Amino acid sequence: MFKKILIANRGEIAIRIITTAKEMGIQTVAVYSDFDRYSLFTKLADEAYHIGESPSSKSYLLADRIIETAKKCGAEAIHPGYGFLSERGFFAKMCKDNGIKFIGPGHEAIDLLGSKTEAKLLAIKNEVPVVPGTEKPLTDFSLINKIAKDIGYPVLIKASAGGGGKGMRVVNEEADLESSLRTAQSEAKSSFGDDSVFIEKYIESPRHIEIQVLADEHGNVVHLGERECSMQRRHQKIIEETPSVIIDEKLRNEMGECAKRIVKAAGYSNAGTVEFIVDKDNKFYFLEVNTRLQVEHPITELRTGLDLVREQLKIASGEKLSLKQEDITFTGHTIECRICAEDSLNNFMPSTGKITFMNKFLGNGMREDTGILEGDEISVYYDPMISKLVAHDSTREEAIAKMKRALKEYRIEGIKTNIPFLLQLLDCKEFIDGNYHTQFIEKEFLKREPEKLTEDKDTLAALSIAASLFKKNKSAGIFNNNHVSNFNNNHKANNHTPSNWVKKRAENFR
Amino acid sequence: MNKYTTKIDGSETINSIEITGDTTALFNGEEVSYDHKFLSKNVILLRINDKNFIMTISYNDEDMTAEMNLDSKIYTLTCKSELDLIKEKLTIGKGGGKLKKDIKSPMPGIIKAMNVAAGQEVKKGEILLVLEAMKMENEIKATSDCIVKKVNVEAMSSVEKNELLIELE
Repeated sequence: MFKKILIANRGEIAIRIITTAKEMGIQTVAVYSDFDRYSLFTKLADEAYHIGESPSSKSYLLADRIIETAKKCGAEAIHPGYGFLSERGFFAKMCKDNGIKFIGPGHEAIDLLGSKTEAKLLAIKNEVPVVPGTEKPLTDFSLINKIAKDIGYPVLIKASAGGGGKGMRVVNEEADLESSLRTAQSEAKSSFGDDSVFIEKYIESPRHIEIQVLADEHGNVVHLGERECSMQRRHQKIIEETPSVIIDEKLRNEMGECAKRIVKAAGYSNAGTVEFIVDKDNKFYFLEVNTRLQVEHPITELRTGLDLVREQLKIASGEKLSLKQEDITFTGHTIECRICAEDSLNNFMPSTGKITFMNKFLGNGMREDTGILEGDEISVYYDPMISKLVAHDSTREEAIAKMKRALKEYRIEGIKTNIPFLLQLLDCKEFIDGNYHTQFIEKEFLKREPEKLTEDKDTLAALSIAASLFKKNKSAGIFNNNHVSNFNNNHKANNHTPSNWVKKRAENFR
Repeated sequence: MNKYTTKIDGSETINSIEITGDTTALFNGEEVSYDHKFLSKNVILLRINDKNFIMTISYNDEDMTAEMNLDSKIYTLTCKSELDLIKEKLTIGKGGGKLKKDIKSPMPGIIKAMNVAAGQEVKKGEILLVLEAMKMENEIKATSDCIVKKVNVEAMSSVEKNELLIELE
């Protein structure tokens, strides 16, 4: 086993990796940007090295500097987390060339599966069903137009180097193709530096269901069941659960075997996720392989009792999988909610600013993966996820009830969060029935009329009296001017200049 | 200043509140006992007839609306004091209360698309511009029907938080 590893990531996922590594007696090294100088993950690691400025292109994406740091501090391996350099074959290769173990698959497998067209060909060759569409990245409009016509509308445009929903557009009719293509290409160009796209048949009301796999470096592969990730908005997952209401044991095994065939054929090792879409008739189609640890991996951990980061570290250090497929058992139901700094009442606008108040009561087995504390700042530099809440219980109903209880007791002030929205989703009939798909939120849920007020008298009195007391105190000047100016929608009133957070964090750190 | 009115979104009723003491108040004429503590400058613990309520409040002075979060559910209500009501009476007839509808940047970012030009009429819900920030493209929409008076930024320019992007009337 490794003695020391470097974590080339930040926030909650860096902490997630540090936690397991420490439990295994492995020394941990964090790298950080200007903004993250005193972020929680840098304090939890044994060592922390500054690698650059706040924008990720000047820090967390600087492969050279990260490798250099690993060599300087004597780290034997690098865990890339998710995002940033995690799915960049060149980085895995650089690690290898420098004698550092990349905790993930080999660069050949990353490159092979990272190309959606190559991955699709591989799937076809291995008798894994795929969605009809183009097999080569395209940029030429007239050719794209012709192919779209052949496949039949609606079609989906996807950036060939994409991920996370960026550079993705649905086109319902020929008239919209040109403008949608232009937006998708410009997003793809700015996010990935590559404006080639590919198009495929658009499947209506699909579910996004993915299979977690573990593969060692000796040819052994197991799958750890599915994750239902269909609760999405703009292709960003919001709520994930396992098992999926629509997957029975037979389908799980079929999908699991397909997933195993693909990763075996790709010469893949370490943890990976094979994504499928499932249509209304429960027919599944291969989508892509995420060659890294996923954001939503905790739900699989709680349902299988495995620590995926520990498995990753064991695999990367050359150990054989200690589990065979028949050893994998599933218990109960697990659900994850992603808490994000965004204003769900205002078109989900990202909400930046300082967290002035944070008070939560998790308890009773609730799991929280986070990298943020009261007093921390949500910046524009990184993604707006504050934390992941994960509930595990013996039944789906109990897991949902546990999640709702914890969400109601999770209070954050200073920024807006999507917690009210998450609770509305958990309360809607479609979610309760398990009857939802990837377009449910945008096409149905968000178009509904707001519900009428049905609160009891004490609640109405509480709201009214609280507002009155607040106003009374305010006019009496109990709060000083500083406070008062903060009342008007904190994130709007705050000035962008990064306040003096460096100094303030320095104080917290002491 | 102990008398207030509230109107909660989703209900037609205008409630009257009178804070009669440190632990007593009248809600629509009925006496309620309460206890309260501010847990932070805008988080309040309130016990009404011994039932617990923890709420966060963001209050907007301009339109006297409070956005309140109770058990992670958002309520919007208008809360006015006696003085507010008197002021309101005075401004009516003066034709006061012109609504500001200017579009300011909610966060620093890059204008990916500017869909409107000066003089253009826009309908409520129409996408005025696309702002890229936190790696996501955010559509900024018109909140009401209006006319574009002036556009202050060009597509692909970067903007700071609170920068005036579009003036509307």
